[in-house]
Amino acid sequence: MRHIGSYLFQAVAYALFAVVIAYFSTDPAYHYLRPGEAEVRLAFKHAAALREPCHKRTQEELLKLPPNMRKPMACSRARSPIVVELEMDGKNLARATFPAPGLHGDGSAFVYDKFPVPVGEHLLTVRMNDSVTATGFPFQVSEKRVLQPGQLLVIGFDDTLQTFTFH
Amino acid sequence: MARIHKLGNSVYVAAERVFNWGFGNRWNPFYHLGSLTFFFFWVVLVSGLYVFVMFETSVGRAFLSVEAITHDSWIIGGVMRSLHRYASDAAVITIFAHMFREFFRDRYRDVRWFSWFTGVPTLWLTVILGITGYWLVWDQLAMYIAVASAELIDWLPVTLGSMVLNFIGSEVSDRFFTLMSFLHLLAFPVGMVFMLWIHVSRISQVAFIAPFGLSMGSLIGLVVLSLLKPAVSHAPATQAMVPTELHLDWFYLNIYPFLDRYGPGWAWGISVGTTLLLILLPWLPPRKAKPAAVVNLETCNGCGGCARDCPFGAASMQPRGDGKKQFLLQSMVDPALCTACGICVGACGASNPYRQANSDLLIGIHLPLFTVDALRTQTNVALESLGREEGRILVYGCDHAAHLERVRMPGVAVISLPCIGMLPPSFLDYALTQGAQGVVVTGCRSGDCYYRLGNKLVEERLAGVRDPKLFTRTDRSRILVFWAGAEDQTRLVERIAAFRVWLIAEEAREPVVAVREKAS
Ligand code: HEM
Repeated sequence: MRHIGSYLFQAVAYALFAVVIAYFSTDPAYHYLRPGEAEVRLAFKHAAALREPCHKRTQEELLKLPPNMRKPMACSRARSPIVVELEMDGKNLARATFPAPGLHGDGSAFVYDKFPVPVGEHLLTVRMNDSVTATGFPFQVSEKRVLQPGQLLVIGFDDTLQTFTFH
Repeated sequence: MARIHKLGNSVYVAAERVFNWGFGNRWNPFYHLGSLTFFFFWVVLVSGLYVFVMFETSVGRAFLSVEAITHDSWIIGGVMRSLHRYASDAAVITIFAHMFREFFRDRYRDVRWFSWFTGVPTLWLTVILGITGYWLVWDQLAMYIAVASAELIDWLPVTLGSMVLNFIGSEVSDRFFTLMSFLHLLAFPVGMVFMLWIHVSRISQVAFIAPFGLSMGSLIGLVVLSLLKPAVSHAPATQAMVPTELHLDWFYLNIYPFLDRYGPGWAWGISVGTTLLLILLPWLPPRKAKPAAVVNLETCNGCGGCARDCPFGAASMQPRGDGKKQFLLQSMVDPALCTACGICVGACGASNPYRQANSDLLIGIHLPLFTVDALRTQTNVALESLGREEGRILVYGCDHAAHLERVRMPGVAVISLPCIGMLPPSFLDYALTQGAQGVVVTGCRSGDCYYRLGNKLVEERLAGVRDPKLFTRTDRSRILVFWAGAEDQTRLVERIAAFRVWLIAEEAREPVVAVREKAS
């Protein structure tokens, strides 16, 4: 027969084990955002313009190629890097360059970044240059948004409409 | 490294001492961390099957079905869901306690690297199982995990790099959800079973089943916890919001806050770095393994004792290679598996100190570092050293339990073996007939042998249920078997002292006449 104290010890040990599990399975609470914050995320994929524009091959160029490869248009595969800028209330939040991925630099660039921002009304401006031949930012959208606590505003780019989207 | 082992081990030893008092040797959870983890996995499996039957694997229905499990039939559903979560958490505790214990006890190097090495992937599988499980609830926590996991995966240069777009700015596809369900419900569990099978594949007589009392105690603890604090979900997942406050399961999801703070590079760096360190640990620093046991074909009669008792499957019986027609089989040792514990020596039918009294004692298998002939010589020297003291005791113990030097004194001689399982029972008879009035057999506590099975095998040999058995004529009352781990130093000293007092009293009553004839 075991000592009564040892049964008590066992009960306490099991209870402690359970308490440790109970606590760390949910606590301490993790605050992803501080109270009074919302989040803006830039998130989209975009196939940028080709680094060099296509050009029509001359007769001479065509003759140099094997007969099965004589396509009239010559296009390089590499795409331009994308430059993206995000501004909030006139202040710059981010400016980053995203190179085209892939072995030949011909993939769609993937733009992704997160910004916790205070709640309230903000004027958000996003711009993009996706071509080494273009100057400035050919794509630009500004929107005024009232952000609630915990709200997620995703800024994307619609390749069909060729414009930024806010949702 | 030895310092770290010693320090860590002393913490375990201190805790084990308390638990030995409270739980008793048989139920001490520290001696059953591996099998206890198996038990928790069983609970996870059974509760998981119940939850799975009620679960709907689609983005639209998952959350609602988990809510229904939790609230509509909370007595069964709610408890099952909670058990599924809490038993998984319990497993994390026991896995880490098991891993650190093997490390501090130094049971992971030399040929034992294999169990360690194959244990490491189970850590990843466990964590990934937990993560994918939380994902399936499809609440705000799940959404957070999905996005953060995608960020982690996107960071890797080998992926397409835009997985996160599946979870923000567009509807999450059912196909993706089905993939997650497949991973959590089938792929990873199967991978885990496979990995655990490999993990224990090199050892024999694996302790898969935890003691009943310990399993039931833990189960009751988890059920009570499930009733007091049922597992619940966060609010349903939504794309319009990010969670401000999350009640993370820190056992499984601790990497995510780290990721948020330090970014995916660091999160991968820490996880992969720790994994690499763990994988390399058995060779840090490299050391020379002890020479493996060697079969001596001249005397091996193929009885099979070594192969039957080897805890590491290093000895096996193979067709005879030396043409001795009267024996079909011979023992064979795989040095890559041999820990040089000597248990095979204790199991060898030819291990008998009365044999070859005037020449080297050769048996079927021997340890180059400590031959059975050396054991006999040491025994003779030790017996000689006892002189004519009252209550002469010879203590046989092992290198991994209570320190034997602390019990040595005039009238008490000690011999330490690599493992007490190396001791052939005939040596007990030999010691008693050659001058000792009592013999003490000691070593690691039951269930906690450094070489896994030594003390258990000795008990069975002495009880006459395992070969080689103790001679029937040997006076059992003069043999004290007392298992004493490092935590039992004082108890060992006290127990031997009491035994000695008893021996002296017995001697006064009825002097022992040394039996010197040859054992039959
Ligand atoms: C998923 C969880 C795990 C389970 C269920 C498990 C289970 C077991 C079991 C049942 C044993 C055999 C105990 C015996 O019969 O002596 C064992 C041994 C062992 N395990 Fe684990 N284990 C797990 C994870 C790990 C991990 C993560 C490591 C280390 C990285 C590890 C390292 C070892 C070592 C070194 C041994 C000792 C083998 C020996 O004595 O030579 N295990 N484990």
